[in-house]
Amino acid sequence: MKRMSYLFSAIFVVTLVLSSCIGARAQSEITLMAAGPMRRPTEKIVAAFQAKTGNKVKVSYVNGVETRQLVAKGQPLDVNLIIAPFASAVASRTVDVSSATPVTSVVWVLAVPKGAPKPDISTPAAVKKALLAAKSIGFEDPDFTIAGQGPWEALTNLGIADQVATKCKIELGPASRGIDPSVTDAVVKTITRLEDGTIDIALHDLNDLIEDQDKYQIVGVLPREVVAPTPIVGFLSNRAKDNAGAKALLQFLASPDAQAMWKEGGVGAPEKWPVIN
Amino acid sequence: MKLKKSLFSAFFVVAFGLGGWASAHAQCEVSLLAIQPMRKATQRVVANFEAKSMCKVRVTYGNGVGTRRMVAQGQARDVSIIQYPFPGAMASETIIPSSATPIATLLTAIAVKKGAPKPDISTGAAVKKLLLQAKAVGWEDKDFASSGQGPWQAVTKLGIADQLLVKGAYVNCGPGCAGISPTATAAVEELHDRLANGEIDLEMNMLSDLMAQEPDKYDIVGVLPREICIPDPIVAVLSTHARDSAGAKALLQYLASPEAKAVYKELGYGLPE
Repeated sequence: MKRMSYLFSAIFVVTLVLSSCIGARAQSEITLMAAGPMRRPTEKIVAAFQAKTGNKVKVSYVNGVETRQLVAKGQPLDVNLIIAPFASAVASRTVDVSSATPVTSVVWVLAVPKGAPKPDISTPAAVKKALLAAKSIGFEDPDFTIAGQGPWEALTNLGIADQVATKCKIELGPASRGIDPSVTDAVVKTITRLEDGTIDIALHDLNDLIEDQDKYQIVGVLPREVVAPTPIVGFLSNRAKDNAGAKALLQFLASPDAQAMWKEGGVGAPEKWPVIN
Repeated sequence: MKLKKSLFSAFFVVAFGLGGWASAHAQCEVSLLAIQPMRKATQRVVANFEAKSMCKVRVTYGNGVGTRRMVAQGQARDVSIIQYPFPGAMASETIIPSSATPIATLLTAIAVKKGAPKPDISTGAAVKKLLLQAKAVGWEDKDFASSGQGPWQAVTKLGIADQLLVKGAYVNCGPGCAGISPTATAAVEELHDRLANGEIDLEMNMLSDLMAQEPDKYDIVGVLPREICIPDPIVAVLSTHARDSAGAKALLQYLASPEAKAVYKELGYGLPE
């Protein structure tokens, strides 16, 4: 009987310890929504944060457009890295607008096939000239991917979107899943076209090109007057706005330590948001 | 016997004639991909075309952003109506870019609560002042609805998009949020209702939608000035695989005809540019 009593006590103690452990772990687990194309630097930064603070971060990677659409639909996580423009996400009242913290930005570059001459892209006039002279230009469809936002903005800002339309090779990106290549050649990736030289120029986000940069030539970042880097802003969800761990994560994502890792991953410095003139 | 033979011949001639007509009729069947925001106008224009041409038109509706995405993904119909911008559709090689025919434009208008004084929106500066003075304004998000393209163009050209958002604008996700409870996100409640109950002072939306939807809840002030919002072109294009190319061409021409334009104008669309 006494032995039985010891056994019950031991089980009770173990259960108590385990449950308090799980409770503490659950309390300190922070959820983060991040863009899939920035997975590599995000993983490094989150690992550094976890090592520094002991907090556990559960990251959900979604495509760039989804970062803002999910928030607009009322599905924010504790911390959300949203790619601009994010009007309905901010207007959803599911995130705390006062928590808005510019974290990093999507940088837009011009690339050419390996061995091709590098055009001058130092001014808007030079970029315009290079694009008009190219036989074909590749970029992604802005209707489907964030990667298409900057190129389309550049072409419209330069006033040549209609002029170059017939020589553009547009990639559908994630929307091409399940589509037979015989139906539309928009399933071919811009990077593949760049590698095999079937386009003269690619307009792209830097972070997608940086890993395999030996397969083509990144000429440089497009001038700001042509297309400014697209802000990526961190927001706390309303239910996490008083959560110390979530706040600490958001601060860390924008910290100088993190900036070095973002830069290494091909994403840019934070861009101001909101811009109020 | 002679009479019987004549009767048979007559039957044969009539049957042959009817068969030929029916076959011609069946031969002229054209598929059309049209945009939902233009449904009412398209129905009228297509009915007129069918009555005139004896061609049958099978219409599929997609939302404004959806039709150009469908074309880009290789799902063009014999004739497809798409809303600008459409780089993916034009480069898809499923349509003939040189056939692109502007048929109408989408106009963006401002509405105020029923009975409220109508403000000055004659210039970009006047609209800027108005939007900044308003307690809150509402529009739809271009990520989800084509009706959001015009308002977004206006607020970014005016350089006040962030300011309006921080101040508490309501930006709806429209059809993209169908079925989501208003308790989950503020981006789902109808802007017309917010205007009627005073949560917003101004709504920016497509003129055609405002004219057709719930005009008892608001007054339309007018169309945004061109300097801040260039109307979005609506273009019809032929598929590279049109089964009846003559019928498809005839429909394309009719969609851009003066008769069709009169219908578009009556229902709140702009003339092609």
